[in-house]
Amino acid sequence: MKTSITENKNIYFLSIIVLLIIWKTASFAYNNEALLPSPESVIISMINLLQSADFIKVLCFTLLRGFAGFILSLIIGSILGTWAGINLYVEKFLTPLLSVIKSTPFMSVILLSLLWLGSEKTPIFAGFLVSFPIIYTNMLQGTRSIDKSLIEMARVYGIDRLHILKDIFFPSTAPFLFAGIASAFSIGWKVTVGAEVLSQPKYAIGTSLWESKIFIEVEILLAWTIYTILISSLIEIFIKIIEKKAIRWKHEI
Amino acid sequence: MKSDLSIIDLNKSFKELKVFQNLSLQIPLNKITCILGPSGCGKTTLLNILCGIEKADSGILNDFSVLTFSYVFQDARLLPWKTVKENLDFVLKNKYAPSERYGRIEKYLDMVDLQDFKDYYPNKLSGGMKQRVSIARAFAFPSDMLIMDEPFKGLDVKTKKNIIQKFLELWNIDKRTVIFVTHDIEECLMIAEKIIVFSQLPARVLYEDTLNITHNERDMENEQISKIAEHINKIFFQTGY
Repeated sequence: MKTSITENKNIYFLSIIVLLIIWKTASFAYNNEALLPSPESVIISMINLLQSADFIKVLCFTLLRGFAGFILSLIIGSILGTWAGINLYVEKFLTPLLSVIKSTPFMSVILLSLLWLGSEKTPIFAGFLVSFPIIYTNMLQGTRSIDKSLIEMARVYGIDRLHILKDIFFPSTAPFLFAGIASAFSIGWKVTVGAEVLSQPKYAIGTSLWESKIFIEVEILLAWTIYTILISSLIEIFIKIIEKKAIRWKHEI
Repeated sequence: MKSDLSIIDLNKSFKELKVFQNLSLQIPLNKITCILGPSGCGKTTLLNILCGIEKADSGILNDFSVLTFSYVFQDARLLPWKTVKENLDFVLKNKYAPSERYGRIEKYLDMVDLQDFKDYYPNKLSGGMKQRVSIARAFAFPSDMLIMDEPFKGLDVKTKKNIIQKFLELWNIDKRTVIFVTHDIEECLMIAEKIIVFSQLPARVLYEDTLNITHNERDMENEQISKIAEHINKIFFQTGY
């Protein structure tokens, strides 16, 4: 077991190193530091950004927007997903709405939302709209997967609703929900930053990306991009840790 | 002195399918009543009606509504995310204080020889062990009636014998009213104090008998038992089972 974990880690590092080598070679061959900067200069920009006055503000505001959209989708998606999982009519009713949400180009959503909600709320709304269907679908499947015979057993033994919820409903749906959470967050996060590029809130990673493009500061653009990726990966790792704790029984089998 | 439980003129159908048509039964208190019949003869439906999972169309159930039930299902129905110990605790939570629960769990797991496995998750146990947990859970729960729906189906002969033994040990200490449903004549004759044989649908009582032989004297060589077995076999043969 242990060797396979270290092996996985080795492969992980290897893939990052290969990526860096390709990048370095490309920038060397292209030989235009302004358009395709080398990894070193991007790392230097990252450090410079870290020391800049607004860095924390920019990061926190975008994180806040990302989380706001995500939490909204988590709450509304879980409730509607559960409801649809229990009631077939609710599912049928929501299906067209879901397909509309899923197939609307998110650029149209962002542009409309800019007109309706203004620049601060648009990234939240956009993030919510892409992650909501994922949470909803997973929760729907999770609710469907609940073993009804266990609920029957609990009823015969006179277990109250609260304990059925806590000891049967949550553990049954948790694996589905966590699978949804991981992908909903990473997609929602990307779209939130994307929406910021268009909506230009005062402090935002998206706004910073846009500005560095305007001033053709490609190394800063890449530096922000890498920060965006790093944050997303960190949160994904964090979600995995919580998941492992929450559904420990699955890992012990 | 409390009287027997009775089911009078029970009717139940699923759409066109009549399961029970004016079925009447007597269930003696603190005895093991075994309902024997072919599969699909409405045995599980009857149990579900008795413990309130399903509703009868009409009929008098006198008086099941005041009873509390333990249920041993065909499948063990343990929560896979809880250990053996926690599975027992799950049903005892609303009934006892934590310290008392602990003692009860220890006691009943001990009685089914699963003390060493109390921290195991169900997926690590064999079918027979899971069913033993299910039986321990049923006895640990303070019910008036114990319902068993083909609890030994799918177990090999040796495991089955062992579990029946464990069940009878538990029952002899704590004589609850038991309704035991099976399609296996031998199983029925090893356990039952009252035997009720069901026909195919709509279920009627084909045969009723009481067995007054103590459990440890029972085997298929016993004269009374082999006689009853022969008789039931004959009934099944005549009705085409």
